[in-house]
Amino acid sequence: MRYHANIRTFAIAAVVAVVALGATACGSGSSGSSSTPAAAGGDSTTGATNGTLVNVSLKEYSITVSGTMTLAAGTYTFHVTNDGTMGHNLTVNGPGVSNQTTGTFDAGGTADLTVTLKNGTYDLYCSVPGHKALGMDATITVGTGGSGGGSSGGGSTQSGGGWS
Amino acid sequence: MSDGAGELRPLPSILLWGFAISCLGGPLALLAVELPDAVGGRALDSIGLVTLAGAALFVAPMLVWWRFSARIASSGGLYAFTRLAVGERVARVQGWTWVVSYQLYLGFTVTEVVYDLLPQAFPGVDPWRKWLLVGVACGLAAALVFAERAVLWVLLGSVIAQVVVMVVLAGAVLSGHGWSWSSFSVASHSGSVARGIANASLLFVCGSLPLFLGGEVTGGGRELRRIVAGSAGAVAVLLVVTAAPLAVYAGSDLAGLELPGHTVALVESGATLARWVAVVAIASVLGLMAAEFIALTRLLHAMTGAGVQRSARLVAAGFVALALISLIDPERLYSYMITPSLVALYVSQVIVFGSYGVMKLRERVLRPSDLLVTAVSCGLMLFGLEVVISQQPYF
Repeated sequence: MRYHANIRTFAIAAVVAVVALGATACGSGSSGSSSTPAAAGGDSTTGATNGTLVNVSLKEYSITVSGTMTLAAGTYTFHVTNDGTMGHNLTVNGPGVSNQTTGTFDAGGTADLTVTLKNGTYDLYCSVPGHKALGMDATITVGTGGSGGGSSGGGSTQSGGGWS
Repeated sequence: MSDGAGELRPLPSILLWGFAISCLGGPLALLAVELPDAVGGRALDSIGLVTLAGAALFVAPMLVWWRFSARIASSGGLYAFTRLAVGERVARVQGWTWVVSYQLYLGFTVTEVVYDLLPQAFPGVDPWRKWLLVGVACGLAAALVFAERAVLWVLLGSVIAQVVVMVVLAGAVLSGHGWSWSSFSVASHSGSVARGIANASLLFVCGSLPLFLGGEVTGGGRELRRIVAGSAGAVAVLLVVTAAPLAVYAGSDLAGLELPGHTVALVESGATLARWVAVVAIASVLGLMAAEFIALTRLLHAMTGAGVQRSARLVAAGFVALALISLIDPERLYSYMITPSLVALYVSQVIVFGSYGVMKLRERVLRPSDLLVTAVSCGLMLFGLEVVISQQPYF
């Protein structure tokens, strides 16, 4: 009886894993970017984390990017945490990246978004209606003086047009 | 509309209620457009307190108007008060300063409606904005010249719609975040809170407009005073209750938006409520413009002896001319017109409040309470002057 229960649990877990891998593959298929939303409360770091890791925190109504806001060209994985109280997403728009998004995920959850950034300016924002206007909008510069994505140390918060 | 001889038709008090409430903001435009900016981003977490204290502070100017209107209720409004207190010469300075202020206000507000507010609700209007500017100015002027009484009924309907939208908007915020008394406390930035209180108080400055209808309201001065006080009290309570929930937006860029109420509705409810907020807020601003236009016609009638109909045509001609001139560079001329308009407004009000103190002094009945309301009222207007001059766009 216990043996059959374990077999059943293993089978369900395997199906879930296959579906999750399939979803990740679909997300990274055509645009040079991938996104992996995780369930609320989860701490997912699975999925395509093949780029330099950049931690991003979302809350009402600001976007905090760890480390520098000036990056070198290359592939980055934004590891996004929703530290707010409502659903948010991280959307990236700029040269070669057309509004790629993590998809909206619940408070407490995390999601990864892998994008290849070229020289230029990229807009990082939350595309939930109204959130960008309220301040969930940050800009990163790629190219000039880039020093790689910082993932530790003092974070930089850009909320609207000002630094805090 | 009155006939060419300048006779004033009796005005049912229900229409004065609509007019008086429209003058206070009003009031959806206060909540959805003006208040967050007046409070300021740093004091947004105390918006309930700021709004409450701002309304309480404005009791002083209201008291001066109230006491004046117990002595005289006529089409002259504030001009008549000043004349009663300190004579014709100063009253004419006050009156013409006021005319300049509101005539310019009409000119730049139509630009604000078409260039700042309308695109929030209807992003597709951008290519048509110049035509819309001319259309709105001509349409509003024509309606006020040829169908003033109908416009007053529309104002009443607009007020009802505004109250409904304000309650629904506040309800949407409350359903998502709940009620918090922290909106009525000072968490930090006490200097910003104090400045926000003064700014919020100045938003009620158009509350004097109904006084210009004192010569025609059914029931006379007594009814006028009842409606002026009642509408101010009702709007203040409504505004405090509906603004307090916005404290949840502390730390956001809400105060810097063109139409903050639209964004709040978008976040809390969705596109449908956001569209309604934008449309009714625009109606609210247009309603205030209509009230200013009507008050101007009464003042010109009282100062020059011209018929109300002729005064209306003069105001309309000035309004449309300013709108056409602003087509040269609408957004730049908007910022160039707002400064002299507000300077004239605060100067004209300082004259009224100062005249009240002088009158009491001359009558040898200057009590401490008179001194206090005079000082607070003048101080508030001087604060407004300081803000306008420090933010002027010329240099």
